[in-house]
Amino acid sequence: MPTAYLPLLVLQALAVGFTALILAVSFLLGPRRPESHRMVPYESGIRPVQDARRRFPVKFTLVAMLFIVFDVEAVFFYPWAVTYRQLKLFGLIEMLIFVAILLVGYVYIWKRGALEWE
Amino acid sequence: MGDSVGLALLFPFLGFLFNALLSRAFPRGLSGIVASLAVGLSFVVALTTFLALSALPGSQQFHAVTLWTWLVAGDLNVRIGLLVDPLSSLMLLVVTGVGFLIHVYAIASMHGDPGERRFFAYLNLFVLAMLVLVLADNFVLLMAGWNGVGLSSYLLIAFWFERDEAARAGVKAFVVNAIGDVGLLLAAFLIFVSYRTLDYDQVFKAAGAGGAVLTAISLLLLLAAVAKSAQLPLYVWLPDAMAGPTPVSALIHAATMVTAGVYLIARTHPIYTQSPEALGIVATIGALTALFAATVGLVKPNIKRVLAYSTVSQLGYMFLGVGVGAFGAGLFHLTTHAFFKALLFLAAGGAIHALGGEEDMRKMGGLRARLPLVYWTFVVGALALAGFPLFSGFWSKDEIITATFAGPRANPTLGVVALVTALLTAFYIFRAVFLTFHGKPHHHLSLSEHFHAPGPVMTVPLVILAGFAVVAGYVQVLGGSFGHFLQPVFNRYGPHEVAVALNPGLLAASATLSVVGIVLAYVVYGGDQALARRLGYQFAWLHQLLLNDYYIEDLYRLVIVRPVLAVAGFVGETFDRVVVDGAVGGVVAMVRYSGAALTIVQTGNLRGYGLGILTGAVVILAYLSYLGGWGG
Amino acid sequence: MAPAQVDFVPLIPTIVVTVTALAVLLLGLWLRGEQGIWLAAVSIAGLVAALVFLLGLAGPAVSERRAAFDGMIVADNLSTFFGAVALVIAILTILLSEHVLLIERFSQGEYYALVLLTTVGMLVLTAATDLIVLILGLEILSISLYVLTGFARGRLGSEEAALKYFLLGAFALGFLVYGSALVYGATGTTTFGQIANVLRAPGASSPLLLIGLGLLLVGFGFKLSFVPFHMWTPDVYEGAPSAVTGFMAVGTKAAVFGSLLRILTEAFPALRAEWAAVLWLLAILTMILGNFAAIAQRNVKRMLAYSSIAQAGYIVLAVIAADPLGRAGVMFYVLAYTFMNLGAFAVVVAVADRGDVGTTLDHYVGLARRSPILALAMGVFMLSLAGVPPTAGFMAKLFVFTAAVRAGYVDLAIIGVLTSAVATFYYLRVIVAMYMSAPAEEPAPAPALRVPGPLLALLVIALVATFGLGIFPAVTGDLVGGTLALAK
Repeated sequence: MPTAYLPLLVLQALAVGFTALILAVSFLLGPRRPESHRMVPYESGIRPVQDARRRFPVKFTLVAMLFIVFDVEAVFFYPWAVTYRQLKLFGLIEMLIFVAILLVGYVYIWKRGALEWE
Repeated sequence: MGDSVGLALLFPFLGFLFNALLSRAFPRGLSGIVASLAVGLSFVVALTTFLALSALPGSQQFHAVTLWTWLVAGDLNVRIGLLVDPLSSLMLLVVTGVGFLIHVYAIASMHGDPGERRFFAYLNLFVLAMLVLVLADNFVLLMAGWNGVGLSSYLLIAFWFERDEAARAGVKAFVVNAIGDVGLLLAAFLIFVSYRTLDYDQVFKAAGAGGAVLTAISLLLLLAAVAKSAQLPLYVWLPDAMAGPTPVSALIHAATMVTAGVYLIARTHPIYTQSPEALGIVATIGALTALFAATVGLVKPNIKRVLAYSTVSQLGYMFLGVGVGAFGAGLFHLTTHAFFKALLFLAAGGAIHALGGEEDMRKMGGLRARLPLVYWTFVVGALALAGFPLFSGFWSKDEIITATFAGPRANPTLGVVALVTALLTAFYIFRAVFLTFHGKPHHHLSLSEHFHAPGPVMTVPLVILAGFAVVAGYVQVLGGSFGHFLQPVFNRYGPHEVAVALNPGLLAASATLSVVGIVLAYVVYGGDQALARRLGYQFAWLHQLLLNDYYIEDLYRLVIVRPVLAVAGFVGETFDRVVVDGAVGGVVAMVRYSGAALTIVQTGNLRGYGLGILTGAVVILAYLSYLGGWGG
Repeated sequence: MAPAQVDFVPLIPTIVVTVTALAVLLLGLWLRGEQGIWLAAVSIAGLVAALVFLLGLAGPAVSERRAAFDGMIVADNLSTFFGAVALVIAILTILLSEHVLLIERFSQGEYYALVLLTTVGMLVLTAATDLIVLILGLEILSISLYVLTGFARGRLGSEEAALKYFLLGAFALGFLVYGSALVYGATGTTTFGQIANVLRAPGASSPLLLIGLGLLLVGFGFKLSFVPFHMWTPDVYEGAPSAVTGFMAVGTKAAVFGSLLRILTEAFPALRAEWAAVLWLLAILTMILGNFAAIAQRNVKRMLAYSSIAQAGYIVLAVIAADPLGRAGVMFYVLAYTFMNLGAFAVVVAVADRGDVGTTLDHYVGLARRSPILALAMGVFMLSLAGVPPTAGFMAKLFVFTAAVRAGYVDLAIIGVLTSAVATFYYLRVIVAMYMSAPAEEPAPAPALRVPGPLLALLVIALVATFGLGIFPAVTGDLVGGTLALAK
């Protein structure tokens, strides 16, 4: 057993132990007074009208997916912005190409009608 | 002079291309004429090559012709190279000569068949492949020809594929030949590993010293030869192959392709002579096959099948000949056999044709009067086959028998077997003569107007072949030029062939046996066949045993065919669908109940597949750790 | 700080194909129906241009390696050869698919763009000399193929196949990524050359490294469908649209075998004994099971799936040999396999009706009458797959078996020869079916089949190549021979 990994094991043990400890403590010490108001998801919020597990239009999924795709791609801008000064013109051109590819995708989903709701 | 030999390949190739691609634009009758012409031109090339070669002194009779380099990779160097020497030029002559006559015959006999063009395309393809086989100067090209003749043989056996029997016979032939191909391929690998080359010349020069490897190579080559030449225990495809058209039976399954095994052993004789064990096995297989097939041939009712068993038996003689080291004698018998067996098939084909496709001899009878020419040519072929004195088969068969008794690798036991077989041969072929042509006509067509008497296109090849069947033997006897011609080949890599003088005593013995066989056949079948029937009742068990080929096929079905199919079915269906799905299912259930989420998709298959991958990975890691020598 | 060594030249073919893919994707929005022929034309033009750049790149000095991006990408004989094969496969696939797209009303722009993107993945994969780039290439290839597999939307078989392929592919990718991580952990680098350098030191082998290598082989084994990682293959091959199956079968094999050959010989030469032992086992299992399972199949697509498993088993023989003859064997086999298998799938596509109905053996009965050219072509491809001379398949088998024998793996060669004798049976069965007469109960004979122009072109190319490679295999000698220089 390489000793180099020992701290990792300790960390794991600590993480698991601490979680268990917190759960156990709140279970043992916390007062329990079950009543109907306390059992709803949002105790002082709006009353749920029905079960959360219901079907909803697939369009939500589509939009969510498209959002994630473009959002994650936007993340690339951050490291680029940080090193922009070192990369100079080369960096600018590279990013323009990247944006152009994004743009192709954008035009494509627009024309295919993925953004239209009805 | 050798350069022009490439033309012998070119003509059948062009004929094949024409018949396969262009002939639809022409009248149907043209395809047969073009095909025959192509083989005829090849024959001319063969003849000039042969004559030019025989004019040269022995040491100069070897010409290598490289057409192009096939493949070079590392030390694997394969050329499309042809070897012209007495052996290959003799084979060339036999294949194109007999082939040409049979092509001509087929023009008439295949006339009107809807697949006529296809037939001649296949036939040309066969000739091309056969010539590649005999002309190759290395093992790869040999294999190409070897597979090529197998393929075209399959195509031609299954030519009437709408008949169930023909389609099945074709597949059977292909499968049995595939076994032989495996032997050839493995032999080639072993040769390559041992000598780092696949060229005949270099291999044979290096083959002087060998030992166990040479025996292994010889046995693998023997496997290939046995499959192709229908010897025991792989003879089973040849009798069924008679489902093909008669010219195919004559050309491929009597005169040429099936002799490729004999050619292979003769060609690789420098390897065989280093391994007396292997040669001994060749001789034993040959003798046993000769006897076995001759006994079975005694009772078969179908005329083509009798001839097929006779071919198996005669090939056994050739194996016996090369097996006792008499390579020249084996080749001599190969040549005479090509003539008289092709003759017998074509003559039988004439009778079959005349009776509208009837092949059962019991329903023939009395054809002598209606088909005099066919009858006489058949009798000539039968006399040659029976080894009747002064006919060609007499000389060539006796040379083999002499070598068996008196040669350097003599084996008198096998010699006795050969003599007994000679008696049986004479008997069964004259049984066929008497049943088919003598006695009363049994067939309803034999006196009617629908009787198809063969025309001159069919009879002329018969007469020519009959002429050869009579005189071919004298090439050897007068002046001994046959063995003399081949001598350089068999002595090129050391004195491997020792000539044996014909022994007058043996000649007399075998002549007597031949005559006795013919007389016996006349006694039993020449009259009203009461005796034949009585013998059949008296020895019913023997009759049944022979009719069923000693139950060899049933044995194969039980021991080989069924288990293989069962295993295949098991692997294909059971393994992937049931084992993975079912046995593994238990594990999957465990995984599911323990709460692990492998249940993404509700198809059992997918989970099983995933688990299969996982199991494989675990096995690989365990294997690697075992190799790494740690963790156990 | 100047950017790290940047050399775009080795990437030019990849860039050309990428740009073409984007262009086709956009053009596909406007060009529909019959106009789709222009999309095919643009795609082929882009692929041909890439091929010109690729071969121009190889130029006169074929044996010169050109590394770029700190040794993550390389242009050499291996990448040139397999890249060229990938581009040719893509071109042939477009010829194969053109009329299918019209009949099935598939979205043409998307289809071509996905084929092109798959090709990009292949190009990256064959040029990758770094574990990360390798995974990147493999994923570009795989994800595009997942989508193509499910391209027949609404057809249950196609959707199921796509889902299966995707889930199992993701599972297998896990092995590959984990293996790469372990190799990195053991050697401290992901670049092939440096891994080999580290391993050259004595005692560099460690459990971590061996497990990493094992997991990498599992990942490759899945993509190449070695037994026991093959089980997805028949289902996916059967479910995917036939044209996609053909593309997938030959394309993945070409690129992944190229990559496998590279990683084993460039990164892990020091572990040859270990990986050869694993591949030895996989090769035996693959050859035996692939061939025997194929016998039981009645569906031609499924039979071809098992056949492709078995063929992969033969190619492994040459990979194991790993000497110049072995390398040449892999290359030749992949090339031969490309033509004969794509040709066979072209016939499958032509015989099947709309919706890929009609791929069982029964549909091939009497094909010789309905279309002599299709039956003839299929017959040739079957014989070539079975390894009958003078076709490409014979030379390919001879090549790999000889390579195995030379490298001392006589056992593998013997199993190979025996199993390929078994294989003749199921290939032959297709021929027998095609040349049998149509069943008698059918009142009218089935109508003659019309073969569309592009498909006919593909068949002719495949036929010529199948015979050409069989009769004049030395023609490829320049390309193959050039790569031999790499052997050191």
